[in-house]
Amino acid sequence: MVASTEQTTVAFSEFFAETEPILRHALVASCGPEVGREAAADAFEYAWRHWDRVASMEHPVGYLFRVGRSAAKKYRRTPVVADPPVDAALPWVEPGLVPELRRLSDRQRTAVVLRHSFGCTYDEISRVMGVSIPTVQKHVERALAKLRHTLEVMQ
Amino acid sequence: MTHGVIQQLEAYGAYADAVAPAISTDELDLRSAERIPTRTPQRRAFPNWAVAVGAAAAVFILIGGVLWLIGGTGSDVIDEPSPSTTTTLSLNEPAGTWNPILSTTIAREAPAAATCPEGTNPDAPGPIDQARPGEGPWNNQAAVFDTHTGRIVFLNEAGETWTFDVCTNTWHQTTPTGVPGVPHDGERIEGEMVYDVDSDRTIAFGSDSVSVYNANTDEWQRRSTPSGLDLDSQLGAVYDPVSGLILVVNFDGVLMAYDVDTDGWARVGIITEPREVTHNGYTQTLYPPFLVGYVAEVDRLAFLGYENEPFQDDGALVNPRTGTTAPLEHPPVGVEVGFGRFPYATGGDTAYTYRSGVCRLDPVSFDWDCIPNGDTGGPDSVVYDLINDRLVIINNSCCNWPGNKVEDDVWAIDFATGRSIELLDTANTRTETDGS
Repeated sequence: MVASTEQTTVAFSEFFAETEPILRHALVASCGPEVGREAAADAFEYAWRHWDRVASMEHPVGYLFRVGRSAAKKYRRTPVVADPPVDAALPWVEPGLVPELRRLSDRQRTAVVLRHSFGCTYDEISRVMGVSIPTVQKHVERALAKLRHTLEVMQ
Repeated sequence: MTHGVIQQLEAYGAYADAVAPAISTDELDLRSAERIPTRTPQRRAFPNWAVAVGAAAAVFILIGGVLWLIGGTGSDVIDEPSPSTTTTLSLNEPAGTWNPILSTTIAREAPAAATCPEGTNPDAPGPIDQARPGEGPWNNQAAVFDTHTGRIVFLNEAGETWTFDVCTNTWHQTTPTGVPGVPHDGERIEGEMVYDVDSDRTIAFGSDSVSVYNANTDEWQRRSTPSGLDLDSQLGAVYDPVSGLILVVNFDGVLMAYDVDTDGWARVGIITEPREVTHNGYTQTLYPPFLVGYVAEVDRLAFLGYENEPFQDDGALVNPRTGTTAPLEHPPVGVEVGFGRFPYATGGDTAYTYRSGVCRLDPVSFDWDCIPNGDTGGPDSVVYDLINDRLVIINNSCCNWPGNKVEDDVWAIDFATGRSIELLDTANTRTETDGS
């Protein structure tokens, strides 16, 4: 049976409302705030265009995370955020943190930022990253160990 | 100001949320509205949430997306007619069986392979000031080695067609007749290209489209896409020298064969379907493995699975003639899969791939022999250069994280010696925009 346009719209709208935070946070954790947000928007547009397929997936967020990571590549040389909100009103960040996050592996960075910057549960992280909970825990622990070694030694 | 790591990460979360606030559906509407004119008409538009459903349906009709919406996908938009109406293959093979079509060869005699002209030195770096495909985004680039012309055919997301001469290490942008179906304004997510040796054509698979490139005439031709054939993400494609057909595996784990000469498709069989597994009480989905190459030495297709611990060793060799599968005895140490598309290539007698290092599947021991990241960095494309019998690494762009250097160089790796040669140095000193 083919869903009506209205049914499709409602279903996608509910999916979007439910998954926007975790997908955006995951892509921000992986690719940085500006690129990650654009990539998340791209992933949701992709989800809409392929809604029948995405809606039937067991773990659509994990799939869209990979879509978003792929889409993020195109922003590497041409950032599309027109007016980067870089000003003093932004929350303060330890100057040494971002370079150290950059030095982590993709997975370690994604896991530790999702866990400790955005407060996601291990279960949420495992679903979006497509790995088991023990693997997530391992990535978080290793990332924290690296960050503590570099940042706290610096302090 | 001194904070513990946890507090620093929490502060980073607040910062990131300020820089990257929640996405609204209105914002998606605007983004989509801007892109509609450049999209292929079979796409449906993102709905304007403020517009009545009926009006939205009318928009869908206008862009042709209604065909997809009501389930009648039909065929893709075709810019040019298919070269032949004679279809020897059928997509309607019964499920659950292995189509023996790959046991019969329909390959023609392949055109003569190119060689390097006398006097050229393939190891000499190309001129650094040459034009190269670095001006547009490189997302989802694809590259193949065209045996007949002896050049790498390279297609980037901007839709530009380039060739790389492996004898002089120079890029050349072509001005082809026709337009490839992919990539197209971000539509392409994870497409692939493969060179059909006996037909002397390069086939580009992308979002719902099939395009064929003739490097001899510099011409792209769009082909029809059979209804029910999902050519979108997670696609893997290789040339089968026995049957002379292109083999494609999609995200559903279905192996299909494509005859570029007749524009015919055949369903060969199912490699493996997505399945649920439970480990330590946690259930996750294992998606079908990726097709990464053809191992001529043993006439097998090489597959790699996701890195889903403890299942990361689910690489396998599949007999394309019978469908029998043999799991790889040893885990593909050093090969990380998952997290989206990764480069792969077939050349010589075996398959190659890249994730945390450039890896070759030993066709005797069936171990993945990997060379860790060194000077060559992490490529977006790997291509096997059949003239010089070595793997070529293109681009070397690194990850998406702000602040990393963006490079656009080309390397060659000889697995026999483990030696890497820089064929073209980067001319790019830009860095990615730092989000901090």
